[in-house]
Amino acid sequence: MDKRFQRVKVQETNTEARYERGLVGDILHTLKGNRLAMLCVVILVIITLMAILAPLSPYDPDAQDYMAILQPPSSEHWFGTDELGRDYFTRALYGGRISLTVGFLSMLLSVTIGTLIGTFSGYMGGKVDTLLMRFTDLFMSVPSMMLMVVINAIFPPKLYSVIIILGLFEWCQVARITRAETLALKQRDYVIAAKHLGASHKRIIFKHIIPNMSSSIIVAGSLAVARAILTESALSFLGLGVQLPKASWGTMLQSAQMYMTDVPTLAVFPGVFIMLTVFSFNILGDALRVALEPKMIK
Amino acid sequence: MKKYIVKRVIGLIPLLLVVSIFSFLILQAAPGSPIDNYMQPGMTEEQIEALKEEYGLNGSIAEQYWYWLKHVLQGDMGTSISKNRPVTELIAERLPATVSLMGASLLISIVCSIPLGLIAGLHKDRPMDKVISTITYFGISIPPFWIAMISVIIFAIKLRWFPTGGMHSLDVESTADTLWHMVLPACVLSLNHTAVYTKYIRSNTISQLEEDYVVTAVSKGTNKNIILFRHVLKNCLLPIITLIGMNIAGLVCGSFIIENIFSWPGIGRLCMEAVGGRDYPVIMGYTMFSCLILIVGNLVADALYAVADPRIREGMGRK
Repeated sequence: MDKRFQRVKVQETNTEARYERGLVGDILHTLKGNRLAMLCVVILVIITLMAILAPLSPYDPDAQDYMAILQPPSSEHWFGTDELGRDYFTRALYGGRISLTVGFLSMLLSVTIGTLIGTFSGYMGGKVDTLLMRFTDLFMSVPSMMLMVVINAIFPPKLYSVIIILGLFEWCQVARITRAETLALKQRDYVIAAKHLGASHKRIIFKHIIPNMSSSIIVAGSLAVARAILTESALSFLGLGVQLPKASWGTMLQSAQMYMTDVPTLAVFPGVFIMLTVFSFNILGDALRVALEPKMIK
Repeated sequence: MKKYIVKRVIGLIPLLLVVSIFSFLILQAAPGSPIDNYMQPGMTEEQIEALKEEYGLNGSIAEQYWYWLKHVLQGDMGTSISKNRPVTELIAERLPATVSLMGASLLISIVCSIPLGLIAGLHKDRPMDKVISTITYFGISIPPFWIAMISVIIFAIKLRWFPTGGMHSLDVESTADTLWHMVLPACVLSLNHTAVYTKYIRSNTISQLEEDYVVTAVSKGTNKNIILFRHVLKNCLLPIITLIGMNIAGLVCGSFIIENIFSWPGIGRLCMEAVGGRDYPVIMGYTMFSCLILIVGNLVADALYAVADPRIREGMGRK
């Protein structure tokens, strides 16, 4: 029995400490305690910086040099050159810009849609809730990747349409998480108090419920970026995602497929970037989930 | 149990309907009218009208959808534009290849993930667990098409252990040859799922080990292996069946990509050829069929779960 009391006490002190730190402080605290997660943040910062600072590269990503095609990595061209003699390292940097943009924007879209649907569904309860959750389940069991392939096969994809399609197919998990949280939050005293004080539904949802789920939303967002980047790269690889002349990492791999026998390095680099980015977002998301979810505190 | 399965079948009908409506609308929105495929130059207005009548293309969208759905339900998914053969026939021809690839990769995933998950769960937070967990994170994060390319480069081009693609060597028709061709695609396809299952079994093992019945067994001095294999493993495996059912969508999408990289002659490859040739009836047929695989897979998983779980099996038997 003593042990159990102790556990409750530890939990209480933990909760208090977290309250004092605030959300951002809490995230930083988590990262300090988890070396692998910290490493992932560093990797992500480096990859993002590289993408942002891509114009600093001495090469133009589209400048073709027919005297130097398909060269192996050298001190001049760090990743070698592609089939048109373009500097592959510079192209990978610019590819990162597109992959990360697609990942982030579609995550914002899917998290927004998911949060709105989930919160609304959980808050309303009853028939609306049942109906919306049925709809979400239905959407979840649809093989989304295939439908994306079909849509993109029929309507030539543009950068923005890829972002929108990814966003529209990825919101279900966020909706489920936020709905569950809303169901719990709406029973809280402060929400009930706000209701009795005459706060409008809109105010309760946006001021009291959504801000209190921010940690879950951040976790879901991190995992959603990982999924979006992975799906985008697969679509682009099949030639159904980001189209040339714009090249994401997936598009680069599509062109690299033709030179697999002669210049395998072309296939290696963009894939390593995708893997590192997705890996980091996945680890980060899970590390934050363990740290931010109160029940997981041991 | 019958009742349970019937209930599940009814629950899956809306999914098929939604996908069919979606497929139909896409077909409608595609550039060019479907009638263009059947028209020949120099046809008169009346002839075109007659054609529309024949293919059910006159009337409102709802009517057209009904006509199309009726045909799909009868197993008629239209005729391929580029190959001039019934879509159903084309799919039936390619289906065994896809199903065997999926089956093989599922088998690999299950065989690999159970020991990995158990070991990781038993060694929670110790180096062994950390290594396995990190590997699973890589398994989830690696783009399957990329690992396919890399494995082709390493195992097929450099080491020449396996063929780069296809299902048979020229003029060879033996099971061993097919299996040999299947090794790379099946392994690559299973990677992602192995990681997902391992993660799941690990967390399940951890939570099962904390259960009271394990504590009781330990305090009674039961052999550790008996606890592990008789009790924990049994309770871990049950939910895996559901998980497999849920992951069939991933398997369908994954095989689409893998078939295309390894030129595996399955329905995914068929669809990609159709995408290249703008062969809409085949694309739609593929979409509908993949959903069917998904639904059948889910049903099988549910039925297995019902058979394995006494709560459902007997609960339904009593009623």
